[in-house]
Amino acid sequence: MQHTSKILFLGIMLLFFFEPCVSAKEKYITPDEIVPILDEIDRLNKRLNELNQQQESEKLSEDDQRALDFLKQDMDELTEILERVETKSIVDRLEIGAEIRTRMDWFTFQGHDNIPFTDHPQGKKRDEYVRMQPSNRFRLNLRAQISDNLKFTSRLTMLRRWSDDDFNVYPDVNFLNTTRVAGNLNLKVERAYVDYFFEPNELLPMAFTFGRLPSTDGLPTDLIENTPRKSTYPAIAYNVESDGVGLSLDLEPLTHLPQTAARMIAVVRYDDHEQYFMGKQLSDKKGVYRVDEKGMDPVYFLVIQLESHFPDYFGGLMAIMNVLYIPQAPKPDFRYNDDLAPFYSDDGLLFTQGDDSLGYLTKYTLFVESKHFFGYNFDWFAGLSYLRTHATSATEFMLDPGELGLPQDPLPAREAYNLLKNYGPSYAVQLQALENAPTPIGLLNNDGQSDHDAHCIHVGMRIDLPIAIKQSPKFGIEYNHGSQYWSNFGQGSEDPLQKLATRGEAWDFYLLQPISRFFMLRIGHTVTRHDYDQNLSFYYGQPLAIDHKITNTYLLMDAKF
Amino acid sequence: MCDTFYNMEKERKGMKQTLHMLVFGGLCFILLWVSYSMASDGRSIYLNKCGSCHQESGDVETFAPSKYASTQWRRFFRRNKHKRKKDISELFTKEELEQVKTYLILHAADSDQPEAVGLK
Repeated sequence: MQHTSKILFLGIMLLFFFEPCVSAKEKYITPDEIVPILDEIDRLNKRLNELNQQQESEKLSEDDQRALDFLKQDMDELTEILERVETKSIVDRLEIGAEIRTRMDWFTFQGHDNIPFTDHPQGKKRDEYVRMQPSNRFRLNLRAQISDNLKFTSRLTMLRRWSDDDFNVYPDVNFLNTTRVAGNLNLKVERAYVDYFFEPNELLPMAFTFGRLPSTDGLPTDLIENTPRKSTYPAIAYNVESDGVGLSLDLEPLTHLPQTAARMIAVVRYDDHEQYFMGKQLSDKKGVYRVDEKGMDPVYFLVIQLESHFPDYFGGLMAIMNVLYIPQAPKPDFRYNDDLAPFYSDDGLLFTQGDDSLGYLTKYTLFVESKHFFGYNFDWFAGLSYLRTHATSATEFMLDPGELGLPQDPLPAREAYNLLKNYGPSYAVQLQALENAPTPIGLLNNDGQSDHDAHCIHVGMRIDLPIAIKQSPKFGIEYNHGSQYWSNFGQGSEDPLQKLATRGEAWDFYLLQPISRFFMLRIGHTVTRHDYDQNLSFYYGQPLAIDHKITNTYLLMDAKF
Repeated sequence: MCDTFYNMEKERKGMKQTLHMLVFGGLCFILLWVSYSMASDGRSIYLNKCGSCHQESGDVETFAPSKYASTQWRRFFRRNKHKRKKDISELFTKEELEQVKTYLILHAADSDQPEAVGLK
């Protein structure tokens, strides 16, 4: 992996230094719209001068003279206004936009709880109902065309349940969705990146992108949100917050297919060795220059995508091929989990064992989306994703009986009670709690060896309803099915049910009504039926059988300007 | 016990799933048909009627909705600026003009922009 990242880094650096037009062309010029107007004013001024000269030679009538004076006054006023507008347009580099959303959710849940870390149902079937749960979301969108070949885009977000200041913390994956789960009133940076466009060869224009990348709101979120495309990737391929670098090759000059491009990004989650959870330091080291052996190793995501538009074929569509590669899946760090924290202490009785990496994983996705299919107000999309894991190890939760003065070798903690209870009642009491310790946690397995494959299909459509009003309502349906080992890497979705991560099936129906170009209403209903759980989230552990059915009904109001 | 419990549940759900797919297919077909039979809207009027003169091979230059900001489009229609070059009142009904105006404003230069890595 180190070689991969070094080669990528060197490649980017080489491109950067050999790129002939390194210096960005400063865009301090007057905007195109204003130049012709100023020219026109110059022309009119000249004409006025001519008229003045003419006036001196020929006496104008009183009415003409008055009209000429008014014209002069208007010209002076217009010139002053336009100069002010011109100055402002030159100085104002940042375009600012904002979005406000108020959303109300209703949820139902039906199903059994399982005995922890097993697929044994526990107790009777639960039937729960969450009444209206309101939330507010505020987004501040900032963008700037810094120069002809340098573009800045960013989005700051606040998402909060009404007057609730809890901050959801999922330490094992929160690097993927920090801004996308409801929290407090803080504005967080969801994306902030710069695109640098350059042409090492006129047939192969490129763009180098760095910062916090646009990898949330994955396609086809543009349909349900009624916006232009807002992410680089399909949602079933990769839909998480990403800090990284990217390189895009514009293949349009070579292929003559519009908007054809290859996009590659490298994203890293890098642990600073100073792990904190709810204000409590979990690492035994302080200082970013120290090494915390129990911390999580870096997680590398390499994403390569080929995309193209076919406006004149198949009714007009966009096609995307995407490959996601995680070259090593680091073992988890569960020190934040009260039940598992003892396994990370230094007393030697309880400990974890296993390699630093659980294996590697590759995901292939094909996605097509068509808007105004064959010119009609019918939009549709279809995505198919296939995932394959290659397991090499598992994290095992162990107990060393030697620390209790017993002669046995270290053994899995969850087996300790059965094997050691006969040594005495004091041991039995001490070890009984370990019966609920997890099985080994591997890459979508619990043995560290089993390789698995998984798939997901995601299809849907949206139409404008034939109602004779200024802006027709749009009705959409989506369906997705994920197999037992399906892993979405879609934590960045704002969908409260995370329907695309479902190991089972999900249906989504919605109706959106644009009121104006700034204001939209949407109601929707989502049903997810889960055959397997997410175990310990992310790619950790064997998915376990469950029978959950969850529904979400919502109403939202969206204003953007 | 757990295998049997959840497996029976799954068999039952499998049959439901097939039924759901059939319903989904049927719904798609009906909605597609409804969509096909719909009256024209701003976008199609813009493409067909505006595009009949404003075409790449023609004498009149092409234009995209992003040519102007929304306020500028509003002013364009309010002052009937097209009349300065050509009177199109015979070609468009009042409703059609209103639909085209709505479409152009919705996709004007100051409307929401797409975002992706390396997208110009």
